[in-house]
Amino acid sequence: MAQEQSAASKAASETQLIARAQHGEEEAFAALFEIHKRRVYSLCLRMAGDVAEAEDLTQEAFLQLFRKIATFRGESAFSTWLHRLVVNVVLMHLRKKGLQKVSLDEVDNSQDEPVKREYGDDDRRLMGSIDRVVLQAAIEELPPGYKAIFILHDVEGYEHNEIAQIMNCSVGNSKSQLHKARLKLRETLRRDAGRLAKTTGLPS
Amino acid sequence: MKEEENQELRSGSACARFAEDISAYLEGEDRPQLLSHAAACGFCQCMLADIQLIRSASAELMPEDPPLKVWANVRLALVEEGIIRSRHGFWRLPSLPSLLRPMPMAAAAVVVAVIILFKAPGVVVHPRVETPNVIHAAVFEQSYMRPQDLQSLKQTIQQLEGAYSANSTLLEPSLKTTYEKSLASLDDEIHECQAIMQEEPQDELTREYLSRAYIQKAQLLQSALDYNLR
Repeated sequence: MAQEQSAASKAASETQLIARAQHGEEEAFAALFEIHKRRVYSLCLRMAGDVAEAEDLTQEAFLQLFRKIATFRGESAFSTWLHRLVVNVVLMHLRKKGLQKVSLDEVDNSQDEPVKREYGDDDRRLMGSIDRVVLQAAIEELPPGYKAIFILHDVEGYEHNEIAQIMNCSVGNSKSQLHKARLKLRETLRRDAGRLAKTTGLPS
Repeated sequence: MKEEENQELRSGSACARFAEDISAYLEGEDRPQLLSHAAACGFCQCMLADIQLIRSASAELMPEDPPLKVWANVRLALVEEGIIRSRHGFWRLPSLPSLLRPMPMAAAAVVVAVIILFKAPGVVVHPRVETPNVIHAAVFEQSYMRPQDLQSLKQTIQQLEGAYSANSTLLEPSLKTTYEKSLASLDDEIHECQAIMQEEPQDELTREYLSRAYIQKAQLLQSALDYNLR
């Protein structure tokens, strides 16, 4: 109950801030930046995998947001609107870099690959805990479409219906891409653990 | 019968069903068959354990704060584009929290308090101390200073600091404490700007902040000497 009230008052104060920002008030822009900067920067950092690029992307995303804020009418949640914009800025950047061909309008199904079943290694599971740095490196290896959905769902905690709005895809598509992202991530982590085991002689 | 059930649970079709159901199960939907299959199939059991581990480790990844300059750059662009309509002076802007924290408010409060105290009846007036009065009004108006101006201002601050140290015992103790808190806060800001400038010597915005911090410090020292050490 208290949590619901707090969420409601948070939303109300954010609505006020948006209205004030729409009138050009600096304090409102600064407050909106403060509220959302961590999630936006973290998303950019995990998507781009580079600090300097993440800074530029965060800057670009907030600039675009504030330039367009007058057009925000509250049809969707502000954070969803913001994250859609951030994801587009990042995917556009990756597309410009030419690293991956990324569809901005829908998740690229060309990334789909059947899961390989490796018989004979049933018991080789990831052990205990996953190192944060290793996990981040593995996330960086994911193709951009998978990566965006994985980060939004498993790291940032968005629901599939919100991700569908952010990524402009169906809820079903979001679910299936997430599953494939997890499998791909698992494959990468197991590969890295295997390499580490070979190097150190320790069990993976 | 039991053996047949176990064979069914370990079959390829059960693995395929497991693959179809695992996302729904992880979303919190009830899938009792999935758990039965995982208990009988090492491959799927391992997959379930791994994905659960990846999920929990991912949820624990901590978000990170962008550096201060990100907001500074956003703000600057918004001001240049006329999107921000600023109602306050430079130091009142809430844009760089760590740069702004107590310093501008405290410095302003000290100056106001000093003026009130000076004008209030019954206040002890100390003999006037000669100070190096070389800070020109034009310097205060600038938001950006050339390196030679900055150097000259630093020298002035050193002189003012010398005069202040020599005479600060003449200040009322509470006023002295307030002044020194403000000066310490300004020094923190100066060090912070200097650290950024060392990493990024071409960062114009930080240079501007640094110039302003020096000016504020000079003004504060000057006001202490002008109004209190009499």
